[in-house]
Amino acid sequence: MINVQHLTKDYGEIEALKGITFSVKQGSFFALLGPNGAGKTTTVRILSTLLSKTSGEVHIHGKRLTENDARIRRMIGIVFQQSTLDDMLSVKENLLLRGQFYGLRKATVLKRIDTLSEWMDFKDTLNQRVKTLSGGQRRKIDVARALINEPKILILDEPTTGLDPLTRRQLWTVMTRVRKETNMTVLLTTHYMEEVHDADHVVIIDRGEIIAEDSAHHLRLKHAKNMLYVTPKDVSTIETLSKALGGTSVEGRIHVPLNHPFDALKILSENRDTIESFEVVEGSMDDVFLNLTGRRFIP
Amino acid sequence: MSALIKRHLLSYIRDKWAVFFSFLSVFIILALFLLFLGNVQEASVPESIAGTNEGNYLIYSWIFSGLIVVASATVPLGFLHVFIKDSETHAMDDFFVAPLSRVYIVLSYMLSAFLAGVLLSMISFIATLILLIMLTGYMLPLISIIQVIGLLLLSNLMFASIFFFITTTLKTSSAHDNLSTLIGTLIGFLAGLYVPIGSFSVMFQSVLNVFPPMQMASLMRQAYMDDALKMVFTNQASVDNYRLFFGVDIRIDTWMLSGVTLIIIVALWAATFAVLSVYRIKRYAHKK
Repeated sequence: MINVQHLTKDYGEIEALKGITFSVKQGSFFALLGPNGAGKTTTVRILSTLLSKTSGEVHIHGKRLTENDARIRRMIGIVFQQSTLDDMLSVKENLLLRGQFYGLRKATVLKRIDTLSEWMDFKDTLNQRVKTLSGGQRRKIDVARALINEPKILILDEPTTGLDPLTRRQLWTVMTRVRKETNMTVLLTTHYMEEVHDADHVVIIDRGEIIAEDSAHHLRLKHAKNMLYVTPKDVSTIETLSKALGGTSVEGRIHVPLNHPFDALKILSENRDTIESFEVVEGSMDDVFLNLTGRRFIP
Repeated sequence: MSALIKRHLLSYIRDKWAVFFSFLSVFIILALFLLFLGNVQEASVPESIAGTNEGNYLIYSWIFSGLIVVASATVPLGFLHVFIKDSETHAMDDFFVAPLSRVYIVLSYMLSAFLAGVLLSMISFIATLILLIMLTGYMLPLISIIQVIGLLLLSNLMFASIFFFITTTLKTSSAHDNLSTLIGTLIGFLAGLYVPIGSFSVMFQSVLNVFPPMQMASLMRQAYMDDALKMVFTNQASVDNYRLFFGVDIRIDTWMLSGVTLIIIVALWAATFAVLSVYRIKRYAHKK
């Protein structure tokens, strides 16, 4: 359980965080979404005891931040934007070293490495030096390294930035497995809208302020319309058809906003004869951001 | 802390190029010596023993004592690349989020710089002893070996704390690379290896002798060359001349710096920069 109350952070004149309040439930998948410079990394660095706050209160599992930093560090594992592994050490050495920081016995750490490498499928790279790993493999080990001390909370700070789409998907498959196995709290910061689809709770942050929060599903329902795109058989009828359907014509297609995707069925069956083709697109988190800020989401 | 030190040392030693570059100045000085600096030396030994094993014992003792001082400076400096890189790439943040004392984390780099220097300069020392036997048939007496080992510890301690302090004032690893290049280029000169110090005016000698490399080199020569000097020179006046010309004894203006004085000065350098470093460590370890 993480509880953040009116958290602010100033860098001289610049207010990086303007008093944000949120809480994260134990065992949930929590996402902090926003463009670059929104204050995501600042928030994460404060929660992980790396940065001091200007004002506000933070409690992590009942422990007050700044008073109990040592206790808090034992409860969290963090994956930074940049990999922090040692190139010159093997995967196993990297993980063993991390275990030593927490005063864990070697046998305990080895057992943990065994479990993690099974879940995350990296047994075959254990004895390789990190510098020989691909970007995706490396990221997996970064996550494993953060999990060595069996943290209650895993913090992922833009973990997939710079990875190709395939590797990103692979990492998420692995993360889903880890969450299922451990039931730990995951706090993700990202500027990839599609990564928060499964989140239990999404906080959208922009310019140091929270502009919306809810489950990803509800945010889309509330702030993003599903759209039906229709191409008419006869282009000359586009304006009349568009009026009849309650949409607008854009470059030879009619855009019809829908309250629910199933509403498309009614419209399509009623106008079956005049429609050449159609497409139903679910509202995306990009639309949520656009609707909330009036700006396109540019990461 | 020992886990951290082991990690720092491994990431340095396994990086073959980093180690090579730490020794680059040593290799360059060695090459220069073989190509032409050796001639200066040969001209300076008494004619009667030129070209004999005794003569070579003196010459090689001079060059080897200088080389191990250079190694004890350039290795800690080269090692500190690990520190600046970790700070630059946020690898240090990863240590900071672990339940470890921040002061210990930063201190571990300083200690590792010292240990890396001790390890590699001791290996260099052993290498010079082997070369000495192969080239001249002579071996340093036990007392000199013990003195040299003690001086290497002191030398590494001093250079590690000086360079650690300087490195904490740098922000990027490229700044550190530039510093390493600068020191690597100057050190042979500052330790009086490229050009024997006696070639300069007394004024310029005094300036050079204020700096730690020459002071350390002087101390090291006194220990390393003691046996060879006794063997080669019988005439007091000529040995005094040799010692001043080749920087075995150094002076600031008319003040001759004795061995004891030099040890005190070097220890003060080490202590001063160690204290300054502790201040830097506190700043590093404090949350921003």
